Order: sequence, then structure tokens, then C-alpha cells
Amino acid sequence: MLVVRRHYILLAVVVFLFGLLATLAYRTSVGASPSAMAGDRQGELVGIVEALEEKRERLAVELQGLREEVSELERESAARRGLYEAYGEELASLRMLAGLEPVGGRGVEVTLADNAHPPESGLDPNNYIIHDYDVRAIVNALWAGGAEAVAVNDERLVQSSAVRCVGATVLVNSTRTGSPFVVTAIGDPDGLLDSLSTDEDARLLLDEYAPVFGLKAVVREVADLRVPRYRGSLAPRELAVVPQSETP
Amino acid sequence: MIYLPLIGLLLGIVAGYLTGFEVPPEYARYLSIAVLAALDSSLGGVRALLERTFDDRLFVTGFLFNTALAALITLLGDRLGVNLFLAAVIAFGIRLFQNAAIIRRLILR
Repeated sequence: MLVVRRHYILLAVVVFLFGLLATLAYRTSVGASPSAMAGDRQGELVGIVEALEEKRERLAVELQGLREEVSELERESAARRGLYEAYGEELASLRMLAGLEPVGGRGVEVTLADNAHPPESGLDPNNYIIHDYDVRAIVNALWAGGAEAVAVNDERLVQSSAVRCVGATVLVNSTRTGSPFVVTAIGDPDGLLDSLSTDEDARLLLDEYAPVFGLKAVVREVADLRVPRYRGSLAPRELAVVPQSETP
Repeated sequence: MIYLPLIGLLLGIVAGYLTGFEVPPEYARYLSIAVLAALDSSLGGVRALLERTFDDRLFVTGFLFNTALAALITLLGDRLGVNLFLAAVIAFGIRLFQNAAIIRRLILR
């Protein structure tokens, strides 16, 4: 009987081990994922997914910040562009007024030329040719009549321009030129024509000297006149801007 | 005396709950193999008792050797990346059903 009892004890020990292990297995399978085999891999994947989600959150925040930065820069750029446009328009206007841009519009064209036939000997030849002061008289009359842009033989007159006599030729903007002279002026034609007939020097030239000495003097109203831009240099050497308060 | 194994089973279950020990997932296969080996040996022991051929040494060495072999195969399978532990599971499973059938016949006879 003792031998049989020992059998039972041994069997009980193994059954005890079975119960213990089975309980552990049960607890493990309940505590962990349903498929114990894939548990390790699954945990790894879950970790990867969580890390990626965290990264995505971080990147989303970063992206939001960058988007705000971009829109801020765009606003700034738009404001600056507006400023540039305003400056650009002002610059274009000033360049036009300064004679640095070709311009066009209504105006008057005055053509002056020497007498085509040389005078007989004994008479003063100076009376039969167009002089620098004749051109100046016309130009001055046109300025006085409201001209906004004036050119002499396609030389645009600017703030430093002069029409003067150099030997047998006339110098306009340091360009030598001669008869015939074509003076083009953009401005209200009525005002220009009126000025040409009332200005004393211009009137004398056009109405009295020209017919007498056979000079060519044609005044023509032009609907679409072209005046080229000033081609010379405008670089100032001595000029400096003075603050407004220092000017009288 | 015949209740001794049942008491052992209950004690095992209670002990399993009381230890609060959880097997890491990577050893789940070894645990399943150990459970099967214990169940197989238990049924084999019951059958031997009923047949009156129970041998202490055979019983103990059989249990220990089978469990160790199954663990070894599982370890080898893990190293090779092949589910060799299934071989042990199938072997134990077949023996389990055979023993159960024989026990059933011995009891019913």
C-alpha cells in the first residue's frame, strides 16, 4: 500500500505542477495580448506606431509655426511691394519730368531754316541765317506758353540745357546742330501758339524778320508729338540736398 | 488517497494565483510546452495507475525528460526561426488523446 501511496504522491506533484503552470499560462494570456506568439512583435509595432504618432504631432506643431511664419513674411512682402510700387510710380513721374523718359502728346512744332538762297554781296549775311538767339527766343516763348517738354532737333531740353552759338553752329546740350532747326514742344497748343504770337522776340522773328529775309519759319500744331529723352549725363558734382529748415 | 492528485491540482491553481508571477511573452511558448508536458505526464500516470503498471522512476524520468526535450526543441526552433515547438505540441497532444481514450476504456470496463 505504501508503494501505491507513493505513486499517488508523485502523480499529485506532477498534477500540482500542471495546475501551477496552467494557471500561470492563463494569467499571462489574460494579461497580455490574445496571441502570445505575436506578443513581442506586436509590442514592437505598437511602440513604432506610438513613436511615429508622437513625431507626427511634433511635426504638425512645427508645420503650424512655419505656416504662420510664411504668412507673416507674405504680409510683410506685400506691404513692401506696395511701397516699392509707390516709389516706382513716383520715380517714373520724376524721370519723365526730368527729361529722362521719351514723352508724347499734343503740342507745337516750329521749324526754322536759313534763307536757301545766299544774299547778294554788300548785304549783311547774318540777317539771312538763323542764330542761336533766334532758337532761344522760340524756346523761351514756348516755355512761357506752358510747354512741358521741349526739344531742339531731338535734343531734349533739361534743367542744365543751353542753346548757344559755337562758331558757325549752334550747340544744344553739348551736341552741335544747325539749320534747319525743329523745335518741338509738348503742351496746350492754344497756350503755346498764343505765347509765340505775343512774346516780343518770337513775334519779331516769325512775323517780321522771316518774311523780310527769306527765313523759313513754320509753326505747326501737332496732335501727337514725340519728344525724345535726354541722352546726356545728369551726374551732379557739387549739388547737395539742403534740409528744408535751412532754406530761407 | 485517491484525492491526493485532485488536492495537488487545487493547490497548484491556488499557488499559481498567489505567486502573482507573469511569464514574459517571449517565454509563452516554453510555458505552453511545460503545461502540455505536465498534462501528458499526469494522464500517463493516471493510466499507469489504472493499469497497475505505475513505475516511480519511469514516471519521474519520463516527465522530466519529455519536458526537457520539448524545451530543447522549442529553443532550437527559436534559434532557427522555425516553429519546431509545434512538433512537441503535436506529440504531446496525440499522446494526450491516446491516454485519455485508454483511461476512458479502463474506467468503463
